[in-house]
Amino acid sequence: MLEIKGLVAGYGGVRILHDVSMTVGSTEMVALLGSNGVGKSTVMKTISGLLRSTEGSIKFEEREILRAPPEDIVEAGLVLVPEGRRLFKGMSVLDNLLIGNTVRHAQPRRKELLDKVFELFPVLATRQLQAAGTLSGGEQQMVAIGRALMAAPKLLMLDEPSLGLAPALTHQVFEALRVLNKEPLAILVVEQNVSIALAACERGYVLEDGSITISDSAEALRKDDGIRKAYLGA
Amino acid sequence: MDTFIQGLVQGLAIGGIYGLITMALTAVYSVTRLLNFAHGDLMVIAMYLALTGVRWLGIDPYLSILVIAPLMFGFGIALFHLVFERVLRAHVLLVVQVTLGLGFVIQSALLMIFSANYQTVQSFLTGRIIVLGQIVFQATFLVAFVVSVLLALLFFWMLNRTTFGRKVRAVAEDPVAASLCGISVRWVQMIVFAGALGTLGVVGPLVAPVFIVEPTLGLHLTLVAFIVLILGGVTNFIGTFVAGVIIGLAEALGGLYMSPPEFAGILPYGIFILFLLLRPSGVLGR
Amino acid sequence: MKKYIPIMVFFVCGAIFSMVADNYWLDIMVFALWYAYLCVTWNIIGGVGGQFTFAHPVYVAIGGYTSSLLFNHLGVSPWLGMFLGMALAALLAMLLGWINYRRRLPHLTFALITLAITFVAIIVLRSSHFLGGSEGIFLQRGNDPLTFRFFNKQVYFWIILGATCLVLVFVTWFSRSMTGFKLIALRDNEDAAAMLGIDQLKMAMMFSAISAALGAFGGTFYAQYLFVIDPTVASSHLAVEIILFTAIGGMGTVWGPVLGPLAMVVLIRYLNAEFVNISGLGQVVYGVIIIVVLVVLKDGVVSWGGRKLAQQTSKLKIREQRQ
Repeated sequence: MLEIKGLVAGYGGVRILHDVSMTVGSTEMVALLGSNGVGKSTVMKTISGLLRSTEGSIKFEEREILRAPPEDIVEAGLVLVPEGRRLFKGMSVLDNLLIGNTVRHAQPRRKELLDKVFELFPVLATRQLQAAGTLSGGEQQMVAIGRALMAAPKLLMLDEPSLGLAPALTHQVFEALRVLNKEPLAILVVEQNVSIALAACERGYVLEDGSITISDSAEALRKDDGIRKAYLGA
Repeated sequence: MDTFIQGLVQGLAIGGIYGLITMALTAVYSVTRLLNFAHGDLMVIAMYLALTGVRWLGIDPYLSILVIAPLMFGFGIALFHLVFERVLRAHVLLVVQVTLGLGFVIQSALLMIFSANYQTVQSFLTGRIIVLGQIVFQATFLVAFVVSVLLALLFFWMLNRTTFGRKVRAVAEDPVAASLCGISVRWVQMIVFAGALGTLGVVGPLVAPVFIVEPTLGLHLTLVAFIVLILGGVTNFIGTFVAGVIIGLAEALGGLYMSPPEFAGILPYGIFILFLLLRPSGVLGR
Repeated sequence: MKKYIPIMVFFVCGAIFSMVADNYWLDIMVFALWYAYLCVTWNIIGGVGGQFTFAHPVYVAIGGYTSSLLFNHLGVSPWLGMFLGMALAALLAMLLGWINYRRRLPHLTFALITLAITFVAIIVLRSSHFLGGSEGIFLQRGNDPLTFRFFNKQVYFWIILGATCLVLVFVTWFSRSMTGFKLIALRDNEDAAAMLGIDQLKMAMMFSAISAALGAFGGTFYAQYLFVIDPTVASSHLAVEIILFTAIGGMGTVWGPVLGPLAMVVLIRYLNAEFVNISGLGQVVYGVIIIVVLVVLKDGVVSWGGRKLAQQTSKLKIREQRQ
């Protein structure tokens, strides 16, 4: 569904990504791993249209989206839950969710999608009218995911969903992602927390020095010595 | 005592109008982070359009709003594409320069077409007064104030109860997140900008019978709008309206009690400077 | 010494011009140079120093009114009176600079305060009988070098040319050697501010004072050239013109504030002369030109040119290295 080939990207003349190639199938849950600052967020920003790339190809459902603006990419069904969540803190939980429902093809399904979100994250239903900024970290992450789901995505991307969350909440979040993945909903996760990412996903990529160095099944990655030493501290 | 109440009422009325003018400026700022130094001059265009309507076509200014407001809205869209869109991500000072230039062009053009003479705009309400107890209002004044309040309320309603208003709030808070939700930030910015001009297209003809119309009124109005903006708190629309009223009151009461009366014009600036000295960082931030 | 060559060339060009031009053109160029003078002096604090201010015309007014009043009422020669004007302007500027830095005012807020000050200044000037009200102050025409009055326009031209060149020398000197001053423009940078501390405040006030004092001389010159000074000289209109002319030339550059006004004033005069029937067309046209230049180049002409030149030279260097 998502096909990236030879992606090059950077900021202000400094190249971060040299040659990134990866794929995500329409029912897969894939992890993108790598150490801090290596450029995982850059990949996400480029895919979602926030960052302009000059070279390479990003195809979503056969359509080239390399130079598309963010709103078009969301319209196509590729939705990012950004790093740090970026909720509209001043607005209510409900308003945040409704904003997520902006894309044309999702609007007719508003009620249905909203019900789905509340079913997945019941606590949000009780906090609907509260200002999003007053929620706990875990609840905010739920709102962020819910907001993305309101756009009826075909592929959901998440940038560091476990950031700032206690382990129990992280498990909760990934449990929800597993449920979503079964619908089916393709998912691409960038994660620092390698163990939980590999536990939930079926495949993984490792980003190093601006390109993908390892690409394998989650099973194989878990057993890989190099990975274990570098990221799992074993 | 009567003159005091008269002044009070007049100040409130003018203040409400200032409040609305500033809200238009604030709305544009909130979604684009642009401070439009040509804001006042744009309103003056609308005033002169009303003048033209009266002089050449015999149309009452209130009626001409039906044409002028959409015209200004369309002008806003054109202006956004030609000028503002291109400087959106530029340095703040460049935007100030460009909008100053724009205001300058508008002022010069008006000077060229209409000359520097002070003009008055007559409407069917000119000269009519309304009496409530001991207080005498000019009808034109009252209408301008009432419509301003109505428009302000309409704006609040739009912002808080409509889908578009929700998009505006989202873009104002975090444009990046908004675009990730599928909102076309550019489009929201354009509509808000054009809407602000459309509002000026209503307020302009509305106050044309109240103010004296001359080309240099623009920068003065812009400055008042900025003063009200800063005093009212940049993101706080209600605060903006209240600040507008305060400034209006200062002007009106100052005009009554200061001598020579022309000195009253200094009051808003004085309040502004004092406020900034006492509240050091100002409310603006940048 | 090399860096002063362009200024010398400029001076020589001006000298040649003054000898061949007729009164009509001399008049235009005196005005053009007067604007250039104002822009260069404004640029010291506005473009380079980062204190975006509308108050420059107020300093001009202070200068012009002070020297004129002293001349009319006390017979003091404007050559001397102007120093009082310069001192007063400097004091006001230092006060504003102090407020700006002590209060850490955001750029915009400070700009708005200065804009408000121009409006206050005009109201005060118009309402004061002593200051001549809306009419302003008139000076007796004469031809007396000792009291800064001449019939020959050439003399005025030389004076303003010389003054402009002197200020350019000063600007060239400090913009190359005193890089610390540039850091004032980075005032929002906390680390730099911590490092410089009080020095920043002193420098800001010093350069504000210099800019204002020099501007005040511009006011005296204006009064002596036209034999009248009135409130319009303190107007926001002039402030906007100074800003726009400097902007189109290139803020913060040495020659931007010279080329900008020279080009624009000549253009305006030409347009106004060609289209006498449509008075004010010149203003509209140059305003549009300025907007177009700023929007397209995102900068003034000189600064844009400088950047392009730098890019070209670095491209050449890279090519050399590759070979």
